[in-house]
Amino acid sequence: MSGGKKLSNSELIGDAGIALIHGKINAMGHAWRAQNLDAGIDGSIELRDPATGEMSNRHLLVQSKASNNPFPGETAERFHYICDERDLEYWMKASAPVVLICSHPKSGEAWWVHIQSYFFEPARRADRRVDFTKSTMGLAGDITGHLFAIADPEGRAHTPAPTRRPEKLTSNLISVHAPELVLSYATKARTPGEVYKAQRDSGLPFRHDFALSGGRLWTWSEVDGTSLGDQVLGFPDAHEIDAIATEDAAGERLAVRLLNNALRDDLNDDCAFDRERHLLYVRATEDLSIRKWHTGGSNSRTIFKGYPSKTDRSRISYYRHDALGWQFLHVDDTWFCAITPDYYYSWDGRRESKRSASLLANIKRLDHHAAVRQQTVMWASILCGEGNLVDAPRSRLLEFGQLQTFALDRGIDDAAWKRTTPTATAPEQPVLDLFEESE
Amino acid sequence: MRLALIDEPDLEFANGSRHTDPRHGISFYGPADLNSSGPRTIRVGIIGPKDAIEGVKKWLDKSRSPIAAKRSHLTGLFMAFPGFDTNTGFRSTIVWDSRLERTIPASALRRLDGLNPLAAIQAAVDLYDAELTALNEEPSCDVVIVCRPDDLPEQVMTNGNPDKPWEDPKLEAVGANFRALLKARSLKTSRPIQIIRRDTWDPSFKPKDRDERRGQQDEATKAWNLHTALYYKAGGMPWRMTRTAQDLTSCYIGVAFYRTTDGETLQTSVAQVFNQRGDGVIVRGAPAKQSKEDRQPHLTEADAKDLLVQSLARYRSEHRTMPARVMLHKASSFTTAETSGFRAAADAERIDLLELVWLPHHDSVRLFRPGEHPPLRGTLLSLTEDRHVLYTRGSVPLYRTYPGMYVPTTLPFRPVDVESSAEEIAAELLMLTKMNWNATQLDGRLPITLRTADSIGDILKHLPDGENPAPRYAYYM
Repeated sequence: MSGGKKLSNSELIGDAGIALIHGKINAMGHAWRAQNLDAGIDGSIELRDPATGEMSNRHLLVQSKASNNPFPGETAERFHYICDERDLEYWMKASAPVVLICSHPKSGEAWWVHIQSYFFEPARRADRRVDFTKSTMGLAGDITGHLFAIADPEGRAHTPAPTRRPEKLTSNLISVHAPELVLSYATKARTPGEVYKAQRDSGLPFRHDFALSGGRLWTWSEVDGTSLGDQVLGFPDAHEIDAIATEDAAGERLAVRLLNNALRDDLNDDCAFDRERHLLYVRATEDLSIRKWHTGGSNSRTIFKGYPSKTDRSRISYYRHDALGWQFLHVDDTWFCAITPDYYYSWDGRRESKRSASLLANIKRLDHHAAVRQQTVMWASILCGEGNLVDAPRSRLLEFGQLQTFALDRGIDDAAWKRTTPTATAPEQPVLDLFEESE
Repeated sequence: MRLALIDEPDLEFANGSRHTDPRHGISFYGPADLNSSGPRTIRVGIIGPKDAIEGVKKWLDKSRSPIAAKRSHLTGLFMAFPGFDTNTGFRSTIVWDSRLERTIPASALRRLDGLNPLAAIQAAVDLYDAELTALNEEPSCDVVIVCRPDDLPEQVMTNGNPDKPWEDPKLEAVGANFRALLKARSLKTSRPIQIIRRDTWDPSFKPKDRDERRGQQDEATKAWNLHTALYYKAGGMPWRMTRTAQDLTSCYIGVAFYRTTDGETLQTSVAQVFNQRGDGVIVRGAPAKQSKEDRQPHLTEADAKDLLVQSLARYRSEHRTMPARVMLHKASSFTTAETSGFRAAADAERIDLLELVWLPHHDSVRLFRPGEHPPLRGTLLSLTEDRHVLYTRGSVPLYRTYPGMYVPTTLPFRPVDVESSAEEIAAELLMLTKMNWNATQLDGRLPITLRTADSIGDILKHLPDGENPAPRYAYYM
């Protein structure tokens, strides 16, 4: 039998327990300090702001209880630990918060409890028993916020804040330059329906860039020789659009109506108008084949496409058209258009599908932030006239500028927010073609 | 145009401690009224079918112990429920008393089966109301849990409007709903009710009128939400708005409108009045008229004045003091007559500072960040001095995600007559979005002044004109 110096198993396990705590606290970004003279406290944690590295000078005292055997009453869900009376008395009179950590060093598991708050109730104090629930008391993950709250119970807990970093946010506001003048003519027409009927009768191309108000027909350009020619009486008066817009609420509404109708007229070759939903949607191709829009580089976006029926692949169930909702705003003497990407579902390339409601609900569940941003940028480029969908270019009444951008000095580290569990490594949803679903 | 980011406001918990998030604050510190008037025991009455009473009691008993958080990498968003017990979390406990259990016989519920939906709902409400009245005689009850009948056909799936095929076919009320009708009846009793559906405590239950695609909340979140509502309804204050010594004593009033009956064009005004700590009362006002100009409901000058005078009187009787400042949020724009009426009321009541802000229903302006996540909650875009949009829903650093399903929309606001800056108004709005005791996520879209206007209207429309509604907000949530 050897008479040499020995280290007991329990000392080794105790040391492993301390090492386990050290590792876990270190991984959370805080400082662990072991205490050499141990009288019921094995060490302390100094909390540190993991984002800035700043030390808080807030300390927690730690007592470790490590065992590779099960704790009393241990199951997969829980166990309990009876504290020694002298330990408990010593911990309760500490001026700093005391944390008891029970661990199984071999499996790397640890659970913790804040002693002073747990034994605040006299009945529990008399019992000396801590009931650990494994699922809610694990020393796992990042419990920084909770530790800060314990270390500074009267103060403001450390909570993650936006990261200091410059970010450029793009709005859906695109600046608009409209002709300075609009014309108003006397007219006998009382409703837009009458004007459209007369246009149809004229056999000339339709004009949408008009509005009726105050017994006059307002339009962006002269009507002579156009389908509106027969609808007016006499010569026009010219008005500044900005003056109309700032005159009163009714004037602003008229100006907005004129701008709405100008946009409809400008995009008429590429987009049809749906009055009920007040949106413009991409017209179907003549043969109902796919239509794409070039979005830069080698990327393109499908903006019109038919989807076959699940039960009969030879039959098209519905067509999806990209669509545009919009609103003109007069801000500080400048016109802007707020653009809102949307969808239109037809069953024949024109008339609305009966399943439109559920199809819209489905796609809006899929469309996340990045997808909507991409669509907004695409519509901005269409409005800017960076190419028509149809071949023949045409002049437009409205000139669109760029989407307005804004700078912010705080933002998000998107990469750091990504999930870190293995399931998260699945590819992100594609942004440009989310729409390959069939019915 | 300018862009700013408003810091996430803190909430106050036990002993003046602070945290931005309700669940973290309760877990770490305890409820705001821990050392004052907070209920340390909640005496609960319960009404329902026998098996439902047993099921709810079992579920609540289980919730005395901690409930693990949903398994997710979003550990800030999904928090474990600490257990509803005197040593943890709310530091309170639920107490049962067999005298406070009122069973609805299964035979009585079976008799509802043959009735048409509307008659069945009304008969069910009568059954429960009789038990509510009986419980009202019991002195030692703080809040009543109502186990709703499982298969009350109060909603039917419409085929949608053929003229508007893009609108979702949706579940529509059959003319009345059990919740609103019973809550209206409960206004005459002396304690609030909490209605629980079977799917809250029985995860295997699939309601007939519920969209299958809608996922269930995880167990811990359900426990958080239900216990927070119970604690508040029992007279507790889970969390408060923070204020500094320099802040004027403020009263927040939301003026909204509801239709008295379905399809009715005439709308009635309602004011939700909160003190600076978030304690609320409800005041019903006069009918409004829809303006031909902007198609929004508006009050006459006299009615506007009367509504604010009544609101301040109710405030005084609840809080024994008058505020130095009133911030009035309104769901429709302010006419000159309304502005004059509100101002006249403030002058008559000697309120130093009255601020008027219009909160439009919608604004089409949006912002996009370059990354995957939408703008941060608190992002404020000021288009002009009197037109702003605030992201009250958006990415939340504490949650490390955007905790919503759809691309978030903004809360627009338009200062009409104010002393505060847009940033100060936005910070208050952000704070008021957190004063919601029906949920424990920190990011409600609407401030509490207007958030529950629809459901309050739903309840009030069943109350006869001459009858005064119960004042406490707890009766309506």
